[in-house]
Amino acid sequence: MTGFAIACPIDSGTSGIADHYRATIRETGVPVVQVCNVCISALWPARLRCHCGADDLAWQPAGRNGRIVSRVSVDVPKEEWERFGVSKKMTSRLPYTTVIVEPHNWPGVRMVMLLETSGAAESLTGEVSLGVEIDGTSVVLTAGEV
Amino acid sequence: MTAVISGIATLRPQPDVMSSSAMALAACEQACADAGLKPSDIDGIVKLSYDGSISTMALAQQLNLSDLRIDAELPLGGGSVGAMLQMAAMAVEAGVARHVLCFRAVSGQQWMAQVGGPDLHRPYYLDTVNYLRPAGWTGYMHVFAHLFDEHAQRYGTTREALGNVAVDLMANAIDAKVRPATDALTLADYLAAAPRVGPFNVFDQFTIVDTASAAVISAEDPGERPDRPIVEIAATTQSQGVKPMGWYDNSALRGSGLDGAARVVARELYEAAGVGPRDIDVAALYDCNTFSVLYLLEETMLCERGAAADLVCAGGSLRAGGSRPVNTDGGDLASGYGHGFRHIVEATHQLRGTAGCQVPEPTFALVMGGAVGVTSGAILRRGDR
Repeated sequence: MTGFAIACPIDSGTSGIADHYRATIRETGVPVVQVCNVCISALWPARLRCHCGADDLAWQPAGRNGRIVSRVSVDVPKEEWERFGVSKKMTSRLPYTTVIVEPHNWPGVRMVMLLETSGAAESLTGEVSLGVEIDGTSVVLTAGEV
Repeated sequence: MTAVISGIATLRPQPDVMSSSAMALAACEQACADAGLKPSDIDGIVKLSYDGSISTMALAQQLNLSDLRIDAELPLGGGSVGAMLQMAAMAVEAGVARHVLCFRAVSGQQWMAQVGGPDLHRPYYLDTVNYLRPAGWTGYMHVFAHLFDEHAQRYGTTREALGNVAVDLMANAIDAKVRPATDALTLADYLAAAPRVGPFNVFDQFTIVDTASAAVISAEDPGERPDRPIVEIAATTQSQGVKPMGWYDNSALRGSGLDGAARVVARELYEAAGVGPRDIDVAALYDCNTFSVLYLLEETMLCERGAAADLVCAGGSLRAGGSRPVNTDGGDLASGYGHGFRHIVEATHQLRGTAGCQVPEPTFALVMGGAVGVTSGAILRRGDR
């Protein structure tokens, strides 16, 4: 599915639009950002109002590629890490790296993603492809090799 | 009229000996005694909404207060330090109350459980369950780890800079006799400890303790202690930043030209107090981790942006006799997490001349809350009798 705009049900509140965000990703199979239909700026994490004050917001594809802004490697003991509420299935991935990515299609937007790489995380340049892993109701945004 | 800090107290019980309510109550009683006041003289209370130790109503009952004319909770978390003084000073300067009590009690293990839980008040911080945690985001250190990486790319900041902060603040804690000399840390010790989240190892994170602190803010000095200088609240302010977004999305590091909350607070404080960064003799900066200190040194203009690593590389810069004394009691990093509130107590000690690691005759102290998100600060001034 390429190119879409699916209205955000903002009256459902912060939790409601988060549920809708995940449902939209499951349905479309791609990472999405929230776009203001009035000033065309993109938002992530999602909000109930745009910075311009408008409430006419829609999910649009984040796009295929982006640039890594920053990266953090995590190697924390499993039990400590679970206390912070990170899902247990992530323990199998330790150590892993999270990245903040700016999608090329939406300059200025900063999305948090899990770095997926076949080699060392450091070997990846700043360019990444944007993807998603769907497992039941859970949705993990991923940044991978271009 | 300029409000004053008339009384202060800090409690450091052994772990798990006192409950948080008992600590809060005792700290409040001691702060009143330090001011030369009876608890019944208190007619206002300002507390953090994140402090679960004791409600203001229960505190008023336990202290046998005659009445409360202002009773407030502030939601700024680690950014509350200046906002609490601001609220208390406004109350006494407006004549609403005469003596306002502020406090913060932290039970270490209780706090670690609280800080790990979902937080609906700060949806972009720890209620990251919807957007950040699915990608492996851990806790608050993760925010700072990403900010460090951005800072490192922009300015070449290294783990050595973080280590120098840890070493200096540990030395302050030992000099202040809060920690034993056997806890002394070298840069080599620091660098030998494996990073856990981003650049951070066990020495980068605050020390978990049980502690409570309190301060009394008064319309004028009660005059019970002519032996020591008056500590005036010269300026207070708070800010959400120019365009608040997620805590990991930092306008200062982005180079966007927009000021983050800490820079807005610093600029407004200097302007209101009529001083500049060079006039600050001692600073108490929020230090839930080592990077927070580097970042706040820059954002409060105690050094240029990108120059904090150079400032601390000399070794000893942050100590009482150093070029830029910071967190002279060891701060939350080395002397135990008090949610930044104890910075008020230490800054007041410095201006009175009663600190464990005393800076020679300071006139102005900067107190600064959290590095990211909503924050606040204060400039305190020594007044002569």
